[in-house]
This record gives sequence, structure tokens and C-alpha cells, in this order.
Amino acid sequence: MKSITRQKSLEEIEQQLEGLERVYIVGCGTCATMTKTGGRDEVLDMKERLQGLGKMVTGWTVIPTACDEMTEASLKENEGAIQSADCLLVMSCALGVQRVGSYNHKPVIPALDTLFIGVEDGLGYFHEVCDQCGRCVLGYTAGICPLTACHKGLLNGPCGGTNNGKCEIDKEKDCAWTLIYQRLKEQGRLDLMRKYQPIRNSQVIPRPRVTRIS
Amino acid sequence: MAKSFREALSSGEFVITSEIGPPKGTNIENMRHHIDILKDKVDAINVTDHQSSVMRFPSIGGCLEIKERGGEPILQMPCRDRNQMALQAELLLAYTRGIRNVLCLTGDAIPVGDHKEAKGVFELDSVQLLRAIRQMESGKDLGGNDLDGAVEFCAGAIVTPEANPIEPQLIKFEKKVEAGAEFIQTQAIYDLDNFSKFMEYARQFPVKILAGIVLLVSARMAKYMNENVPGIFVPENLIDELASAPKGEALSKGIEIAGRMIAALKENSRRPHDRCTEREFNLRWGAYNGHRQGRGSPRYPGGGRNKRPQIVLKLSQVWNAEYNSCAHRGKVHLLRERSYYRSLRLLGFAYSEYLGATPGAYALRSRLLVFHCDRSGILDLSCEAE
Repeated sequence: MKSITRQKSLEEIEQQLEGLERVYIVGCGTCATMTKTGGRDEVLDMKERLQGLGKMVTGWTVIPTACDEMTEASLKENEGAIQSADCLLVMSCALGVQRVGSYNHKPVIPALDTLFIGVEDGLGYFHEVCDQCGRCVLGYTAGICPLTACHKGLLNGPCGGTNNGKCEIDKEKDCAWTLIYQRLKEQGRLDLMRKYQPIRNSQVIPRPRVTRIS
Repeated sequence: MAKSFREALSSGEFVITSEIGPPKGTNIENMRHHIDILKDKVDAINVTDHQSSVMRFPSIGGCLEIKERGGEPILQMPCRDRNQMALQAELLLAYTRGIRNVLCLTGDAIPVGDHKEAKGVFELDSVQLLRAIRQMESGKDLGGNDLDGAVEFCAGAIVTPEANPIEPQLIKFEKKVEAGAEFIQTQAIYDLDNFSKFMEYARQFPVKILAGIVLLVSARMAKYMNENVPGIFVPENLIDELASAPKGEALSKGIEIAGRMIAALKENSRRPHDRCTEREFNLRWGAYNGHRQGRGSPRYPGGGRNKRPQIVLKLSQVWNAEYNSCAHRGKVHLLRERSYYRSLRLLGFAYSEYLGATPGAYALRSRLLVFHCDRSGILDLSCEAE
């Protein structure tokens, strides 16, 4: 799983930091490093940019995986610099931001927007693969998720907006149902496409979603 | 209207529908005017619902106007904007107000419209909506609860005979028929050879097909649609025909082409239904789909259906030529390429009225179509004998 993120504009970061002069920066060594949005290089770059805005950077760290519980230990190691800061600017996905916030009473400010859960196809090209809907249909759709790969999340086949295998919203985007059709056809399983898919359950686990492993 | 749309569909007569697009705003005078022109000339009038994801006065509002003015409306119901509760509630409202026809649509994508950051709902798709209607007809809502008073609708959906690849569309077409679609409106068609192949395939199913006719007003428009509108293919010979029309005559040429197509469709619809064997069905389907049969080809629906299939005609989506001057008779200028999405859907009835009297393809010339436009850029039209 990869959390795909994008850096907020410096303008928006500055707005969030209004009245907070002393900043401690937290990066993440996993997804945000891979997407070049919150790794070591980006953290150092952010440090310079904040200093350019007249902010005082009290310290920085890149936590190996900001969303897991090791974050607590990592923050403890840097307690001094964190205590002298007004806030923590977190350069990870929202999972890391919330994890950092749960171990700390200082304000946590996100430097990134979390876009989607995706995988990397080619160098630097990421695409969304799962909507975490709670009712997986990949067994009927040749392993391609129509909820995420189709703009409209259609379950029973393509809409009329598809053309030459592309999507109506963007000629660069593939039509999910054309891909599903082609793959099912190759597998000799087109009958699956004829199967009626009922209305999906939007409340598999009502939000906020929690589960307990027994 | 003397008869309901469902009665018209089963009458064996050539059926003609039209389409109107409600306004963006509360000034519905033009819409009322269009309804009054059309209501006695067509079997039913579609009312679009935020077509192309452009927010407008809703389809149900237009349908209520049509009812009040004595016409037969077809409620267009896309799944883009409403969850299952809102869709069902609107069906209840529609039924109590005498609206009996529903066109079930997925709906256009939000980003192509004018509220680009809006949330697209798409909780249901068109197949699921058709099934939802059939379930509500049985007296149960989608939650499985009893309805105090059920609904009853003549429900339909759409198909794109020119889509590429075609087979995924046909699979969905069959799912729509299985889900209870009684009629299918097509995307605009121009290639009648391809359409007649589609009809040989589609005629095997217990559903009425309404061919979509969109008026071509210029070669430029035809090329634009070929490049930008999914599922539309205008053959090169028609583009050449439009391009060869004298300056200012392209619209007349477009009308002639539309009239010719309608006459041909009408002729085709008269062909008696030949019940075919399963083998013949597969051959026909294969000829249409253009590849060999195997797993995944459509199920043979059986050869014993007694209903005589017909092609019914949907006159819709007439290009809304916008005008660069007012009170300008018989001359149309297409100002913006995007005007496809601002179409008026009004012209069609005149040809149908005309063709209703004269099925011959070229006899169209014997009548004169007179175009007027007013300051709002809306086209008015009358059909007069020469």
C-alpha cells in the first residue's frame, strides 16, 4: 500500500502556520519519501523555505514509517527540539499526521495533501487501485477495480461516454470497463460481465470505520 | 395526448419522440413555448436532466409542465446526482403527478459540466435503476419495505450502436433488457448500414428501439462530433455532402440528410419480423460484432416472440445553432464548438410531420421549412407546404 501525497503550496502552509513562529518538521521515510513529497531532501528544502518566511525551525526528523507506533519513540528522542517549538509541520500522509498528533499535544500542521491509495506503474507514475469499499468485486472484474478505475464507479459495464477504450473525462485515461472486457475475454470469462451486480452496500462498516481483530 | 407512450410503443405505428432541455434559471417561458409546439406532434417528449452535467431546471419540472399542458413526458433520470433514497422519492413524486415514462441513465461525468468540483453520486447505475423501478412496481422499496401505493412506469434506457469496442455496450444493452427496459433510445446515428446491422441484432430482443436523429448543420459540426463526441460517427460521404452545399445552404442540406435518414429508418421499420433460429441469431450477431462467436456472445432470446418489432424514431438533440444576429431568417451560424452541449432539440418534429405524410426519401424538397430566431437565440420553426 502506498499513500500518494502532494505538497501543499507554500502559501497554504504559511496560512496554516499563522501565529506559529517556531516549527519542528517531521518527514516520513516510506510513502512520502518514495513520492518525493516528505523525505529527507524535501524536509531540508522545507526547512530553508520556512526560514525564508522568517520562521524559526527548532529541528527536524524523518521517521521511518510515520503511521506506525514507532513514531512515539522517534518523537521522544527529539523531545527537546519539539518542546521548544510552537507546532509540528508533518510532511507525511494524513495517517502520519494523525499518528504524530496522537503522541503530542502541540498543534500538528499537514504539509501534504493525501490523494489516494495507489501503486507505482512506471517511474513516478502512480495510479489509484483501491477505494477500500468493503465489498471487493475483483473476482468478477478480472482483477481490475471498477470502483476506482472507472470514473463513475460503475458495476454493470461501461457508460456511453467511453470511446476507443478511453474515458469521457480524459482521453489519456483508460476506460476501466474496456480493460475489464478485454481481460475477461482473454480469460474466456466474459459471462462474468453479463452477471448482474447489485447496488453496493455503502454502509459495510458505518463511518467512522473501526474493526477489532479477535 | 390521445394515447400513452407505452400504448404508442405497442401500437405497431411509427413512434416519434422529441427532447427538450430546460433552462438555466427560472425563466421557463421558452421551454413552455417548445412544449406547446411539440406536444401534439410527437408521441412523447424527453426532458433532459442537467445534461452534460450542466446544472439546470430539473427534468421533473419540465415533465410536470408537459403534463399540465396536455403532453406525454419522458422523465430522464441520471444516477449522477441522487442516491437511492432521492431517486426513489422522485419516482414516487413523478408517479403521483401522472408521469409514466422514465429513461434510466448513468449520467454524464461531473468534470465535463459546469460544476467541476461537485460530488458525483453514481450510487446506482442505469441497470440497477431499471431494476429498482421494477422492484418499486412490486410494492417494495430498495430497503425491502412496503410502499403504501406502488408505482408503474414505462421504463427505458439508452445504447450507443457506434461505440468502439461495441461488445461491452451490447452486453450492457442485454443487461438493460433483462432488467426490464421496454424501450431503448440510441445515441445519434448517421451510418444507416451499421444501424441496420445493429437492428438485426437488437430486433431479437423484446424491446423497442428509438433511433436518435441529430440534425447536422455543417461539415464542421460533423467533424467536431466525430472527433469529440463518444459514440458518434458521421460517415465521410455525409461530411462531403454538407461541405459541397452552397454557402448558407448547409443547414438545408443537413435537413435533407436527416429527412432521408428518417425515411430510410421508417422503411426499414416496416420490414416484417423474421423469427430466426439460434444459429441465424449468432451469425447475425457475429456479423455485427465483427468477430467470431465464442463464450461471451449474447444469449439467444428465443425465436417465438409474437410482438412485431419496430424501429421507432427518436428525434432529439437537434443542434442548437446559435445566432450572431437576430431576426435572421433561414441562416444559421454555429458560434461555439461547445454548442453541442447546448442543443435545443426542437427541429425534428417538422421532418417527422412531413415524412409522416410522405415516406419517399427525396420528397422532402416539396415542403419548405421556415426558420425563425429571436433575440434569445432560440429557434422557432414552422413547416409549410410549398
